[in-house]
Amino acid sequence: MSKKIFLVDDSATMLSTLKTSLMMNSFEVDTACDGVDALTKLKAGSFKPDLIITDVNMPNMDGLELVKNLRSLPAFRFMPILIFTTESQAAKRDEGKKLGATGWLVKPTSAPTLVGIIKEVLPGA
Amino acid sequence: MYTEKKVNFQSLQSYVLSLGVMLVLSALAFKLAQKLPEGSVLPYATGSIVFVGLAVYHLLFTHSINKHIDEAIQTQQVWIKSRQLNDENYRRLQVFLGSIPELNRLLEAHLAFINESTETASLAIISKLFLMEERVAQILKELEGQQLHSQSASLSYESFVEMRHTIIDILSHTQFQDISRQQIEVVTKGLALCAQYSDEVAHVLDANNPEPLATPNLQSESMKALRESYTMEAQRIVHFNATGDDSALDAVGRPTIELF
Repeated sequence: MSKKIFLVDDSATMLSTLKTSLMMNSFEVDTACDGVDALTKLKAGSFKPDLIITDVNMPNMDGLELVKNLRSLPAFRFMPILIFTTESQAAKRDEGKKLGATGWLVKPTSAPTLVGIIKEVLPGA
Repeated sequence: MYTEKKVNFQSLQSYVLSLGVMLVLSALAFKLAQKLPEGSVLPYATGSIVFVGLAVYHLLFTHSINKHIDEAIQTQQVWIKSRQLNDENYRRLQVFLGSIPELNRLLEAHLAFINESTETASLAIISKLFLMEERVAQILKELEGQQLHSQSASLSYESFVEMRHTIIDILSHTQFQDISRQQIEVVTKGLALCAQYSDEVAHVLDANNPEPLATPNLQSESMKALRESYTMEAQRIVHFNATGDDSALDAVGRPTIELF
C-alpha cells in the first residue's frame, strides 16, 4: 500500500513539481497552499497522510505555526513532519526542532534526495 | 546687509558713547578749572588726555566690532554657498527618490510576470509529458491488441518514461522560481529601505538645517532590517562580503539536510 504525503507550500509550481516527483515514486499526494489551508484539510480527515512536508515562509500561517498547531492535535502528535524551505537561519531551525519538526531540509534539494529522506523517515516506503 | 549694519552700528554707537563721555568729562573739567588758580594748564592737559583716550578707545572698539562683522559676513557667504550646494543636492536627491518607487514597481511587475510565466511553463511541460505518456501507452496497447507488439516499441515506451522522469526531476531539482522570487523580494525590500533613508536625508536638507541627520542610526537600522529579512545562507554571505557584518552568518556551516 503506497504511503501518503501531504505537501504544504505557497508556490503552485513547487507543489506541482514536487507532487509529480513523489507520485512518480509511487506516493499518494495531497497539497495545501498555506498553513490555514493545510490545517483545515488535515482536520477534515479526508486525506490521512503518513508524512507532512511543509514550507516555512507562507502567508496566513507559516510552517512553524502549522507544526505547533498540528502537534497539539492528538492525530498528528507523532506524525513525521519535514520542513522543506529556503530558510536557513539557525534560530528558525532550532525553533522548528523545539516545536517538534522531524527534520529540516534546505532548498534546493533534488527529488531523488528528497525521496531518499522520505524513505528514511517512513520505513517501508 | 551686513555692510549697511556695519556703518550704522559703528556710527550710532560711536557718537552716543563719545558724546556721553565728552559731556561728563567736560563737566568735571569745568568744575576743576573753577577750583584751580588762574592760568593753570591742568584742565587743558586733562581734557587732551581724555580726548586721546576716547579716540584710542573708539579705534579699538570699532576694530573689534568690524572684526566680528567681517567674520559674520564670511560665515554668511559660506552659508549661502552651502545652501546653493544643498539645493543642488536636494534637487538631485529628489530625482533619485522619484526613481526608486518606479524601479520597485518595475521589479515587482517583472517578478509577477516571471512567476506567472514560469508557473505556466512548468505546468504545461508536466501536463504535456503526462499526455504524451498516456498517448504512447495507448499506442502500445493498440499494438498489443493487434498482436503487433514489438520489443522496440516497448523499449521506446520505457525510454520515454525515463525521459519524463528526468525532465520532472530537473524541474523539481532547480526550484529556481521559488529562490528567484525570494531573491528579488529582498532586493525590492532593500530599495524600499534605501528610499526611506534618502527621504530622511531630504527632510534635513529641506529644513536648511546644518545639524547632523536627526536619526543618525537610520542607516544601521535599515541595514539591520535588511539583514533580518534574509532567508537563505547565500544572502547572508553576500551581506557579510559587502559590509563585513558577520552577525548574519549564524547559519553558515550547518547541513542542508538535518533530521532531528
